[in-house]
Amino acid sequence: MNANLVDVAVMVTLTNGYSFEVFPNETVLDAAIRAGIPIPYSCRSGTCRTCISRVISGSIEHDPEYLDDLLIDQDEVADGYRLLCSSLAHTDSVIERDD
Amino acid sequence: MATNTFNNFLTPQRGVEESAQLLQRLYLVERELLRALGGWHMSISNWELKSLVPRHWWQDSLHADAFRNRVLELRYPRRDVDSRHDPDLLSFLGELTRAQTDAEFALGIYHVVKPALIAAYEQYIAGCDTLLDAPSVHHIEHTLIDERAHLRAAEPVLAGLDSDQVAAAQPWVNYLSTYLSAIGGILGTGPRSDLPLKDACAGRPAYHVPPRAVRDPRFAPAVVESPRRPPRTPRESQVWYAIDHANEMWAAEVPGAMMWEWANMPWEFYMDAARWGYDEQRHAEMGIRRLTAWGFEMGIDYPMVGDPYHAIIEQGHGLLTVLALLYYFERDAPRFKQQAKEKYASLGDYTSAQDSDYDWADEALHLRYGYTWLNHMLGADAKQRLPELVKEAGELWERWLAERWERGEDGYGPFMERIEARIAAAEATEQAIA
Repeated sequence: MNANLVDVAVMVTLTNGYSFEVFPNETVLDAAIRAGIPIPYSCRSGTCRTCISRVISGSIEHDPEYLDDLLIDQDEVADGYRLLCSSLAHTDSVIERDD
Repeated sequence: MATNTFNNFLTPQRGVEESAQLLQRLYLVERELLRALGGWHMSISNWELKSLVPRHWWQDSLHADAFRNRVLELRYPRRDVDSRHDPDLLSFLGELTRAQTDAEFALGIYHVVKPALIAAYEQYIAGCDTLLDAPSVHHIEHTLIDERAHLRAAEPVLAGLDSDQVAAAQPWVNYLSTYLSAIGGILGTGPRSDLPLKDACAGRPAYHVPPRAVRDPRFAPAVVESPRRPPRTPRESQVWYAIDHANEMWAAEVPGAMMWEWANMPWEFYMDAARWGYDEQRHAEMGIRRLTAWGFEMGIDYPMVGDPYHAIIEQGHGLLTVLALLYYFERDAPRFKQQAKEKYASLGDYTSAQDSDYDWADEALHLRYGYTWLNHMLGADAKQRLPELVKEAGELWERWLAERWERGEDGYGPFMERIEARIAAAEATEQAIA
């Protein structure tokens, strides 16, 4: 991972029309909450799967520090799914949300 | 005067292996208590008793977990901790659910097993070196606080049971007491004698969770808990929401049923199910508290029924599909509860808002439980079958409910009249005060 990419805020866009800025080392969900974007969530620790979403473009990855605690399987990750409460955005990205 | 000598050894007390064996018995008793309480929960008709036991099975799961961990600290093989039990103790504990009435079940738990368990804990501490075995003593002292509180909490509930039923339960109580004595007590250290196999109470059939969730006979008969029409006013919305909460007892009964019927699951399953069931009972209590404060009489002014469980069982499906239905509801819960919190706060109903806030937090746990254990039960097919089963469970429920409404078999008419009358009366009172 290019360290420079996480030193600046990036823009995340949802397919339902919302966009918001994500700061370095801020989870995508925290950024959405800060911006008042209504994404359903509950545990904020990657264990309830309420915020699971598919990343269509860009680079959003799970925080490597908590990978072992996340309730998501590798097939889902390979298909682009991320638990937004435990994910960091590294580049401008688009996430599929129809709610 | 004290004399320094190398001969003042302590009297030999229990060693590690014996302590581990005794603690494993205590773990087994706590574990089987929570399974019995969970399994029989669906059959309990007395509402006060049904409301009491989930907290006790949850606390028993914490006790069991503490002792299970402690056993493993005492050089006890991991492979044996969940399986290598005294068969006599296991058989005795298996008798508890063979009760045939609320009184038999409750008296067996609260007048036979739990008092004997308290005595066993006291006996354990009296016979141990509190320095060498200090972690065990710590767990036992904290467990004793809970177990004594269970007995205190149970007494008024037992006093409220039908007196004829309580009197008729005495042979069952005597049978269990005799059985427990015959196996040397909870710790197995007392004298043993022949099991009371010729007692009139012996040989009853094994218990299975019934196909219907039993409700208190003081309640009016009910089929569904959901009103056929959506709420028309904010006040109705508050009441509809509280009725939904009050009826979450079915979601406490289902984890309880799973704890009983699924006897060979990993220990963590019982921990999760115990907490899940207790949380749902708390949610039911939240709704009842709101409705009672608004002047509604439980089970009379609004229905109390386990309709989602009935919907799945009546259509020929089993507990796994019921678990899938529970997960189906839980998946939407965070969004729903979050919105409810905001909605009721905006109406100035901070009690309902706060109920939703804590309920929302609980749902995070339940979602993990549901996903984890559905995956476990479905095994290698889980990736494909889990979403299919959850979808199927949701469709079974929606179809069952729609049919009741369409056919006019929802039984809601009398309840709706009383609900509307209660709301009108409350609003009239508020206007008069204003």
